[in-house]
Amino acid sequence: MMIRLLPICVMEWALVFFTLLIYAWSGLVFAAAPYESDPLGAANRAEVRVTSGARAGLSAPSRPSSRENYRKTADLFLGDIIRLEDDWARRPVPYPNLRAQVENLRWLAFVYNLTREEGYAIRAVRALDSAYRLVVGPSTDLAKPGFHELAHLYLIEKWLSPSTSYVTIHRDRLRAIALSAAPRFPQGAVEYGSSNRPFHAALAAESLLLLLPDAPDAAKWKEYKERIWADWWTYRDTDENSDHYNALWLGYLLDWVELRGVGTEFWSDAGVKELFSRYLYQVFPMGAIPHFSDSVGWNVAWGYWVRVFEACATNYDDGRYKWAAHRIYEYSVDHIENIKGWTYTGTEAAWNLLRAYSVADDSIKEVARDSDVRLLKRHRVVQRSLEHRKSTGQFFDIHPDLVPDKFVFYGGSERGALSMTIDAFGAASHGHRTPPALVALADHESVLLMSLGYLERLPEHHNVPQLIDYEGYPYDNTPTDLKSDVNKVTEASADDLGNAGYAHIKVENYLGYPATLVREVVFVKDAGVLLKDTLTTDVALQVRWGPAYRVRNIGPDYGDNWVNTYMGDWINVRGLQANSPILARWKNTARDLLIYFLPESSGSLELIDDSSRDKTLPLPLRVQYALRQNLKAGESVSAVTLLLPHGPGSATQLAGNVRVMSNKVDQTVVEFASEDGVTNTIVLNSEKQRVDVAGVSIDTRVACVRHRDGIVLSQGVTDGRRSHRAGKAPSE
Amino acid sequence: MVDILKSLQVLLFFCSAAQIPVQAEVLLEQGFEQDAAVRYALSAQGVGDRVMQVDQRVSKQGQSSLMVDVPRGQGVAFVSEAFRVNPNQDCLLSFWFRAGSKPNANTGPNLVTAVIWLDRDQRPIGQSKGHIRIASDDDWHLATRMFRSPAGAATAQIQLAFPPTNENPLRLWIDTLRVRTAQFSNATDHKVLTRIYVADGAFNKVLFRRVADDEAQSGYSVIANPRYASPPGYLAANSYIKNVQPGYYRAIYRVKMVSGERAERQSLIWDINSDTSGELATGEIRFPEQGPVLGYRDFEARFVVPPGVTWIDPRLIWLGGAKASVETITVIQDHQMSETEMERLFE
Repeated sequence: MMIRLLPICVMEWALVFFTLLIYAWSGLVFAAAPYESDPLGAANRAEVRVTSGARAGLSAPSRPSSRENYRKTADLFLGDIIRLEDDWARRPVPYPNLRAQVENLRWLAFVYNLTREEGYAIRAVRALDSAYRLVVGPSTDLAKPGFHELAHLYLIEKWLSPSTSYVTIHRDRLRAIALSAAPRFPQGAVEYGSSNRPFHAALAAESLLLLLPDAPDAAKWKEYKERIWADWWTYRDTDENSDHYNALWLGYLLDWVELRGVGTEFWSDAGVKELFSRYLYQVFPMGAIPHFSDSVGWNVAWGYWVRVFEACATNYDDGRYKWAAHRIYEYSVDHIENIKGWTYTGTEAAWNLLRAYSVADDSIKEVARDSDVRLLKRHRVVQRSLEHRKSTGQFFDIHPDLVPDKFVFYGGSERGALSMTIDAFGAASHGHRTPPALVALADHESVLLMSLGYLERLPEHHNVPQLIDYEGYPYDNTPTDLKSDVNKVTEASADDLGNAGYAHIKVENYLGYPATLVREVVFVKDAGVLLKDTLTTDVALQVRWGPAYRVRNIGPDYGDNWVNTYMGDWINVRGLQANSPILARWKNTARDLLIYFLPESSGSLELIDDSSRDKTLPLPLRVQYALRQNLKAGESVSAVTLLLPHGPGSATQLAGNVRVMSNKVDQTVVEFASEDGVTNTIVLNSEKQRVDVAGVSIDTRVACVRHRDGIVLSQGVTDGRRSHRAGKAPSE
Repeated sequence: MVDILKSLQVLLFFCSAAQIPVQAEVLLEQGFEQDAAVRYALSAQGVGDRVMQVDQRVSKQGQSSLMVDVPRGQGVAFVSEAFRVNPNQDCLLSFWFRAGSKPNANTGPNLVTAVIWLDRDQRPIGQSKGHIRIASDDDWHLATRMFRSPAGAATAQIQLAFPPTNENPLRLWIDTLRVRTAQFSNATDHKVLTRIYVADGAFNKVLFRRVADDEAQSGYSVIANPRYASPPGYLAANSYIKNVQPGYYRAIYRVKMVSGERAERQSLIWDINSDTSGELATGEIRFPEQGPVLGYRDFEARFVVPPGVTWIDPRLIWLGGAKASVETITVIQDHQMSETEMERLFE
């Protein structure tokens, strides 16, 4: 359902009535939208003004990070596992779920190894016996043992080895389980490449061969795992672009390094260090890596990241990783609604906390990261043709050159810092190929914008400018899982101007059209974000295009070209299918986002409500500023958005303070006030025409001037260096 | 405002009374119980009479069935006697079939069902066709097809045609062929199964394009524009609706059409594909002869899901010639059959 937002002063009463009726029907909160809880007080909402100083350290963590606290959180689950194991042990026949049995075995063996308390080993051995009986005896468990079970078995034996309860018969039984999981090499079923599935299989192969060097098809297993290792080690990178799958992949990798016994070489390698650094800079200071591409939702892999960053902190003796691990842990345990509510954010996270406990070194102190604005890079990935991948079992190849991965922008390292990620990566396994998607925006520990991840794949769901024609021009409709040159990033750069970050990204074949989109970003560290999208088409097209953002709620007010939005008290994580139940919820701090579109004569503020077709979609609304234009071949047009976070409540005053001095393709000069009373003037000036701001003469391509009462507080300028062009290595 | 009113119209539409079949009248019943019953059998392309004969060794119901031997490289067809119909009447064709050999599953439909509509002077005035891919097993399968008689129809004949094949000779049996009226009356258990937004991806992406469409409620549609796409193809397909229960259904195709110059091709074909019974129903959406651009219109297609079907795929085929757009396909279950109803209709 699409509704054009009209100015309330000219709106007919009938429209108001029908609008409210429709919204009531769809369950959408609109207009005087009540907050589910209101820590700042409803009466004060419109008057709330948070100073810049208050931005820092909005909330102290209720459970500060430490090894012991990791352990305590994990122990919330250990008690359940013990109770479950004791209950299953009383049954006359084994509980018919091999995976669950091995999960219990894994926990109990690991805790035994940590504590050397024999009781854990005894229970672990009991779980092993149950698992063995499922493998050799009549079983109602329909799931056959596979990589999931096999990958853990070697480490289980290693952890249990010191125990007197773990004797020869158990070693034999563990091997019998391994053989049932891998009776032969599954030729044709395994995949190749540097991603989570091949790594899981290779880890399983490593485990099998350590337990049973003469296992059936041992030579094939060995050849397989060595090929996977050699492929990944060539460039020390993955072909996946998803926070969720990247976390899984890194988890397998850490285990695999341990099994191979190559820790020294691994942790001293510069390429590996570069890989981890990429993820370090994706951590929002509030304590989460925003989800992107094929990911179920906000912060789902938090436990994995704590483990990964603690391992990095210890092995690199680097407090920045400690900072990242601590922030993620503290945010997660403080904001999850029910840590036992869903396996991924619960048990799986806790297991990784246990692993983090074993590797963490609390003598390493937290150190904040060294930069606020970065263009992260990774190795280029090229998709194989459908025929090629069918014949080889490999989807992607990694290439030696580095290309843009993500832009990250932070207003500092404090938890409340304004934070934003923009995706710049193209085709990848589990990737969405939607540069320049705004992955997430947060402020004051509140998520304001985020991705719909796995739930929706079409571009209009991912905070990218829309482009679509009316007549059916034969643009590249290729699905995202097929090889294509759609959305090819050919230029990208990022500069830190001091008071702001500036970035630009050029995307060719935009959304499959013979068109180029340039997105420029000015990230004012203490105030907000300006996004300028400039579109140039090679052919004449009648189009509807313009910026679009997914949001959860709108209100209480809006205007001709702006709308106030907010996430609300909870960030929902739910299953992949439409109308799936909510799996987990993250508590969100009250904070609003004014989305302000610089007015255009052909522009129309529109709201699309998807809640009627998907009632549990975490972001049911799309706010778009649609420009309906007949574009001539070679003509450039632009659209500018301001994203201005503010205290909960009316955005009318904030919107009213926006002043547009100039807005055309080659020059935008706009001024807005931030909550700290500072006026922010942003200049995008491709022709370098002189602009005077608060008595300062600007003749650079980009400028951000913060001033108050005619006094310039800070000034950031750049001519927009080009730090990357497509196909060139950084050294070029 | 217009968008909101459209929403209300849709809401009201779904609140309106749906229909279920009652008081079915048998128009044709053929059990193949005796040799005389095959007097209607025709052998196409000069194939001898032995391609069709009553087989008293095999039957689904009664004592015998019709055995059909399709020679390699030749097609044959069975045509029933004419039976009386009323104009604009919904008819339900059902019959049992069983394969005696193992057709190649990849060779496409190998049984074409058709109702040949005749006027009072016994002149053909149209056909309603469907396709079945005969399963590669020894089980009896029930086929059902819903047809709507055209204006002017007085009688009809059922044709079961087996197209030429280069495979090994195909043998199969047909039993209990029936045509019933399917009259609908008010029902209370209708429900919307799903609404498919075709532009979300359920179309042939090589031939057709997702486009901006400000007349569509979602803002998007899929367009077939002769300026860019000329070969016929699926304007909507591959939206598999799973776990469908036996019963009476409607698919409402929300389509926008623009008349073109080639009047003979100004139509869309809809069908309801299924996993076990091929196309459950098929029909035509006619374009206007000439005239201005029309807005969106809802075209209703009725069909019956027999037992054994696990998924259906409502499709739309663009034949070329004129510009056409589709926004949604809404599938409504009007009535879920009870065991008793199934027995009454199909046994």
